[in-house]
Amino acid sequence: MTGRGGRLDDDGFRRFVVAQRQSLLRTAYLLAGDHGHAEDLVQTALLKTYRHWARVTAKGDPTAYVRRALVNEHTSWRRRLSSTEQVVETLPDVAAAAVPDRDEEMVRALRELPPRMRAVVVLRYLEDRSEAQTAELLGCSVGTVKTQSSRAMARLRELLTPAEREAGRR
Amino acid sequence: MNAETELRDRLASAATRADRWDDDWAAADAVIDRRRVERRHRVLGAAATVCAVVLAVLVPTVAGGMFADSSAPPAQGVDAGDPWDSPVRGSLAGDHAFLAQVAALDWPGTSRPAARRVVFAGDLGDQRWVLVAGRVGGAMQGAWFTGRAGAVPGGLAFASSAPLPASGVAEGTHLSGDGSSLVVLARPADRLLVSKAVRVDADGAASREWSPVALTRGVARVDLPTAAGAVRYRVERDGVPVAAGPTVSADLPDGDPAADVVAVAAQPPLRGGQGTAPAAAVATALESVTGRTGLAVADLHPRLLWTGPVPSGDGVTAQAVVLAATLPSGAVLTSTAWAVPDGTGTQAGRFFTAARPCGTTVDPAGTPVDDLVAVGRCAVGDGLVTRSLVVSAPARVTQVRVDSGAGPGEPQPLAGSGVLDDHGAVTSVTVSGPGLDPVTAPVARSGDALAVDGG
Repeated sequence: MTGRGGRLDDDGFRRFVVAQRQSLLRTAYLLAGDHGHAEDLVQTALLKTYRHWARVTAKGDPTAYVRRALVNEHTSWRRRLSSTEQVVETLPDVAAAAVPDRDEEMVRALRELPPRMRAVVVLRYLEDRSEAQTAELLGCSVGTVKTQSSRAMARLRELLTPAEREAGRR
Repeated sequence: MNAETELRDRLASAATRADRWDDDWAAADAVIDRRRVERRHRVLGAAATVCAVVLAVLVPTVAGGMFADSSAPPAQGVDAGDPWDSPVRGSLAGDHAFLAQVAALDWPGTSRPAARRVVFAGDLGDQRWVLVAGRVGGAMQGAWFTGRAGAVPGGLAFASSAPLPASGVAEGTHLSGDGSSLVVLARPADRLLVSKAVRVDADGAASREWSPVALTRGVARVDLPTAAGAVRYRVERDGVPVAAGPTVSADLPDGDPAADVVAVAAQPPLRGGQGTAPAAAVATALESVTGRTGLAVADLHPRLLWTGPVPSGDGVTAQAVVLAATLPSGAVLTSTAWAVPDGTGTQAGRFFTAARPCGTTVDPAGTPVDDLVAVGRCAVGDGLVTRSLVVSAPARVTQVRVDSGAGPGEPQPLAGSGVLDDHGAVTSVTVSGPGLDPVTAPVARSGDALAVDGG
């Protein structure tokens, strides 16, 4: 990519990043569980998209491509981290940290889920994607998405404190 | 509300924690730069391959097999292996007894590795810093301990812990009312840039100035000002950003509201409203400004514009506030936040988030506060969130139209200021009234006006 065409492509890519990155970071944060890894995931997904930018944009909206790259990177990254898919990590802790709030509880609960199940939850319930869209992004069947979604809901019910049980939490 | 709806709300709320990472233009440029480096390496790699083939053919012929031994070391400059698996750094690297003791120090949380090693140990100025690391479930986790210079292991206190990234850049923060500081551990050839705060010019343009800070053998300590939360840093390697932070909040833990905050909360609202402004909401609205600009409350000349109740998905009573702050440049910032009235996070025996920001907007110097039109987006509640738009406009405004991108919608009555339902897609509102030209104002996201170039 050189010359004027390259610069036009770069401008288009920059506009795409500005339009999409916030949303990508939110998804990546819930997938990864911490800011640093979320930013790494998004940058890697954007780089993979940019490598094929001309081809991707020629086929239409590059949003689906970068989302697929993000999810694939997340699941493959998790595989690299642990063969057992039971990654244990925590949010950054600070001295005299406050009582964990409900957002933190949500992030911690997500980290208890296997990576693909976590991806199903994030795609279905954060991004409001249909079962078919989620299956396409994850490269699996709709039936698998249904199964993973059902198991995730059951697991999250165990991990999350419902509002009515908040009494006396402090 | 069923379980799926509650899960959607909780995911949406938790995801907003990622909103601090908003340096989108720089991120795009980093990707483009990285791709250029990849292309250069590919070209150089191809050239190197050609040279190697030529040498492989020529050298045995010329040198008579002089270089026949193929057990050469791997090429330098290629990232390989664990960036944290390196000899101990710092002035105490040779003190094995000290290192053995600090490696055994305990720290809070569940991220404590069984097998540990010391990454850094040394005195930086008047403070002693130690970074201990180890793997937890496959990910490298680090914990910083700090104390006065010369402290024995037992005299060090846990400061912070966080995952250690593959970039090989670690940060440690020491928070203290007597003076906070930040340590950045990078590679010796890296470049560290620090921005102390967001600057807002008279025309309302917000930006950050970045200054290089010298790394000594890859380490730098940066003393943080009182408003430590405004500081940002970035690390560049070969001209490409590889790390940015702080990733751990550099704000001191909350205490009782300061006297200047209480004084603002006690002001009679210029635009009226209903109820009493909670000090927690005022503190949150002010922190949205001081936390980015590094300015003290006294520098802002804050004025309370409006306060009133906002609906909450949790069924609790929440109260919003809208403040106007005049910066030293003359630019006028409007900041909106909500809180529960008592600011404690408890109501009817329940615990929930006590206060949150609803966004900031900026107008150029010279804008009369009486004419300001500002719209904050509030997500109120904890498990169950209700989203509202808090509109603050002059008292002579009588109606408002919301625009979701397809032009202004149907007019709704509005008596100056008030709260509207937020369907999430509203991008701006237009207010009008008798003898008043319509004024269109954007809807703020949290930190909108000041979220620039590194957050």
